[in-house]
Amino acid sequence: MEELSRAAIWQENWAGGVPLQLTLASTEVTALSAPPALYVMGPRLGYLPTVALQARAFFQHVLPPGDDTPWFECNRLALPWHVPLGVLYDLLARKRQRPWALTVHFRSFPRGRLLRWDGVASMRAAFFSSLKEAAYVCQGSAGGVMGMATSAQDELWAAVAAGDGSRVAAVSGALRLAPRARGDRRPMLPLRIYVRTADTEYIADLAEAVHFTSRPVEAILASGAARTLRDALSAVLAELLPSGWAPGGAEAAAELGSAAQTLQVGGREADVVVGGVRPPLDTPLAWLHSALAHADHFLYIAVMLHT
Amino acid sequence: MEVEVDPRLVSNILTQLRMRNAAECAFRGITTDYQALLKRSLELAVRNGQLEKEARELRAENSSLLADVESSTQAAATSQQAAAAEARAKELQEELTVTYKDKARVAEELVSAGRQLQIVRESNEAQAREAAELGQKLREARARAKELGEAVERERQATALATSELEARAADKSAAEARADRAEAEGRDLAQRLMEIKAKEVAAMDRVMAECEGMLANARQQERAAAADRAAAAAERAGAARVAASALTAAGTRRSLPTSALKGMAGLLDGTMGRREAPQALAVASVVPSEALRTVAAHDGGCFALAFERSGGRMASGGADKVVRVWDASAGIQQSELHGMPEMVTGLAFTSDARALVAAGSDAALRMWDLTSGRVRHTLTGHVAKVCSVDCSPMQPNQAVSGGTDRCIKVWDLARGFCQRSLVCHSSVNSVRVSLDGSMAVSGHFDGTLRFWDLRSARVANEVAGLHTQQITSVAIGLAAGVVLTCGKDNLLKLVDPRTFQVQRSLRAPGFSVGTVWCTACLGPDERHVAAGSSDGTVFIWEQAERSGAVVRTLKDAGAASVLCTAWSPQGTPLVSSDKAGRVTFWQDRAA
Repeated sequence: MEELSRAAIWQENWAGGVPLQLTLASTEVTALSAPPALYVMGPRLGYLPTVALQARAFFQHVLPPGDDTPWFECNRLALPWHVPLGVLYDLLARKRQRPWALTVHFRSFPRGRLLRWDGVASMRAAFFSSLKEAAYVCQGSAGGVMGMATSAQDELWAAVAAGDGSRVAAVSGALRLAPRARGDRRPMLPLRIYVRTADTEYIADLAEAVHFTSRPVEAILASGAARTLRDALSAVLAELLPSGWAPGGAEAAAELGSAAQTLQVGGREADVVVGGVRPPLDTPLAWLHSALAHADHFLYIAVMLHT
Repeated sequence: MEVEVDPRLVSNILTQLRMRNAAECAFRGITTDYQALLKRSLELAVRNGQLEKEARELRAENSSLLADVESSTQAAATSQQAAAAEARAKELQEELTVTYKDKARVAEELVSAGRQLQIVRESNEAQAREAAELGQKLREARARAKELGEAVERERQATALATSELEARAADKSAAEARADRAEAEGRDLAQRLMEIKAKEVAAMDRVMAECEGMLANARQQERAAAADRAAAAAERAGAARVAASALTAAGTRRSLPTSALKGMAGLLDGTMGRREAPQALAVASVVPSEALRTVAAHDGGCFALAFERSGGRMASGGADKVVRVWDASAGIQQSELHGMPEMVTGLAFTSDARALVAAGSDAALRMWDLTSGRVRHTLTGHVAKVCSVDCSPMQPNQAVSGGTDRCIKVWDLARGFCQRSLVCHSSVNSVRVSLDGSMAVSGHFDGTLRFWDLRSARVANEVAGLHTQQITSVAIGLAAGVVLTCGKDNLLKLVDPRTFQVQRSLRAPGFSVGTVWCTACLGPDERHVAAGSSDGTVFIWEQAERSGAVVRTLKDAGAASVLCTAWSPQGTPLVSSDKAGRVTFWQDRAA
C-alpha cells in the first residue's frame, strides 16, 4: 500500500510541469515585427536550458547571427540555469502565475551574474556533479556514480531531459542511492534549502533576496525518532539566517500544534513548499526525501517568508 | 532505509500533488496545441512565401506571353505591307549600290584630304615648336637683360661706395697733409730753438774764453812778476814757470769743448729722429726669395703650423697627420719626427733656449718635446676646447702662451708643466704671440680685434677694436722693432706699432685672398718685408718700407693648393710656406 502510494507520488511529481509564456527579448528581434509569445510546459523536475532548446526552434528565424547562449529573465532577474525549474517557480512566482511570463535571451549572456555557460555540456556536467554530491551524502562514497557506464549516464541524462520519471527511477534505482546508516553514524539526507526573505514582486539581486544552503541532514534524531521537516528546518534556518531572523523554537512550534501548517521565522510566517505542495511540517524527512527527491537525489525545499 | 509514515499524511501529499498537476498541467494540452499551431503557422508562412513567389513568376510569365501575343498580331498586320516593302527594298538596294560607289569615291577623297591634313598638321607642329623655341629664347634674353640690369645696378652701387671711400680717403689725406705741415712747423721751431741754444752755448763759450783771457793775463802778469822776482830767487822762478804752463793747458782744453758738445748734441738728436731705422741696421736683412728650393709633401691632409728656431737653424712643421717634423731650415731636409699628438697639430713654437718644442693640438691640450731626446716631456692640459695657437716667450725659456676657441689665453710654466695664468676674454682666440721683451701677449680674435695683454698683471693693456672687419687669422711679431703684423679674413694685412697701438700700414694686393682661418702671415727679420699665402696657392711678398707697401714679388709653385702658413727664417732666408695639401715649400733667392 505504502509502496504503491509512494510510486504514485513519484509519478505525480514527475508529471508536474510549469506553464511558461516565453517572450523573445526585444533587443534580439531582427524581424520587422516581434514573433508571438511562445507557450510551453516546462518540466518541474527539469532545467531551463532544455526549455530553451524547445524555444529556439520557434525564435531561430528572427535571431541575429552569432552563437546561442540561452538565458532567462523574470522581472529583469536573470534566472540561474542550474536550479530546477519547479524550484525557481515555487520560489519566485509569488502569485502562482499561470502561465509564468519569462523573457528568453539567446545572445549577450550575463557573465557576471550567472554561472558560466558553455553549452548543453555544462548542464549535464552540473547535473552529474550534483548527483555525485548526493551520492556521497547518502552512501559515503561517490563511487557508484563515478563507476557508471557511459551508456547508463547517457540514458539517465536523456531521461532527465525528457522528464520521464519512470526511466529515471529505472536507471537511478540501479545505483542504490537510498540513504543508509554507516556504522554508528546515522543515515544522512542531502537537502537543498532556498529561503526567500524578500516578500516583493521585484527582486534586484538573487543572492541578497534568497538564502541558499546545500547540506546533509541526519534522518533520525538522537532519540531514535524520525526527524521531521520542522526539526530539520528549525535547525538549518537558525544557522542559515542572520541572527534577527532566527525561527521560533521547537516549543513555539509545538504550541501552534501539528495542525498548524505554518512555520514562524523571526516573527514572520513562512511557507514551506516542496515540489509545489505544502507538506505537513511533521512529515518525516526521510520519507519526504524518498518520495519527492529530484533526479539528482537532492530534496529541494523552498521557504518563503511573509511580511 | 524505511520510515514509518502516517497514511493520512501520504494521501494529503498525494492529493496536493494531484491538485497541483490539475491546476498546472491543464495547460499541457493547450501549449502542445499552441506549439503545433505555431509550427503549422510558420510552415504555412513559408509555404505562403513560396506560393507568392511562384505567383509573381507566373504573373511575369503571363505578361510576357501577352506581350508576345500583341507582337504577333502586329506581325500579322505587317505581313501585307511586306510585299510592298520588299519592292521598296529592292529599289533601296539599288540606291544603296549607287551610294556605295559614291561612298568609295568619297572615302578616297577623304584619304587624300586626311593626308593633306596630316601635312598641314606637321607643318603646324613645326611652327609651334619654332614659336616655343623662340619664346624660350626671348625669356632667356629677358632674364639675361634683367641680370645685366642688376649687375649694372650693383656696379653703380659699388661705384658710389668707391666714390664715398675716395672722398673719405681725400679727407684723410688733407688731414694728414695738415698734420705734416704742423710737424714741419714744429721742426722749424725746434731748429730755431736749437739755433738759439747754440747761440747761448756760443755766448757761454765766449764768457769762458773771456775768463781764459783773464787767466792768461793773470799768468802773464805772474810771469812778469816772476821775471821781476827772477832776481829774488832761482828756485822760485822755476815754480812760477810750471804754474803758467798748467794754466795754458787748461785754457786749450776749454777752447775745444764747445765744438765737441755740439757734435754730441747733434748725434743725440739724430738718434731720436732715426730711432725707427736704427734696429733695421742691427737685424739681419731679409732676402726676397725668387724660386723654390725644395717642395716636400710632408703632412697628409694639410700643414697648419710652421715655426722657426730663434737662431733660424731649425724649422718645425705640423699638420693634420698628427706628426711634428723638424727640418734643417737652410737645406730643407727633414731631421726628425716627433710623435705623440692624438689630433691635428694647430700651432708650434720653439722655446727661447731651443731645447724644447711646444705644439698645440685640437685635442684641447699642448705637448712639449725635449728636442735632444725626442720624447714628450709635458702634456699641458687646461683648455676646454681646441687650442689654436701657441708661442714661447723670447726672454724666459720656461714660459709659453697659448690661446684657443675656449676664449681663454693660458700662460704655462714649462719647467713644471703647470698653467700659471688664465686670461679670459669674450671672443675666440685665433692667434697669440709674445712681444719681444716678453712682457706682453698679443692676441688676434674671432671678432677682428687685436688685444694686448700685460702678462704681469694679467689684464688687457690695450685693444685695437675693429682692426679687421672679419676674424684675425694670424698675429706675427717682428724681430727687429717688435712691430705687430696681423692677417685678417677681410684679405688685409695690417702693421700695428706696439708702442702707440696705431695702425702703421695696411697691405693688400689684387688677387690676394685669405682662404682659411689657418692662414698665417710672416715678417722678414728686418721687418722690411711681409709674406703671406693666398688661397690660390700664390705667396705674396710686400715691401713695407717707407710709404711703399707694394707687392715686390709673387711666388707660385706649380700644383700648389691654398697656402696656409708662411714663415721667414730669422737668418733672412729661406722663406717657408705650407699648403692645404700638406706640402712644405722652401723658397730662396736664385743668387743664394
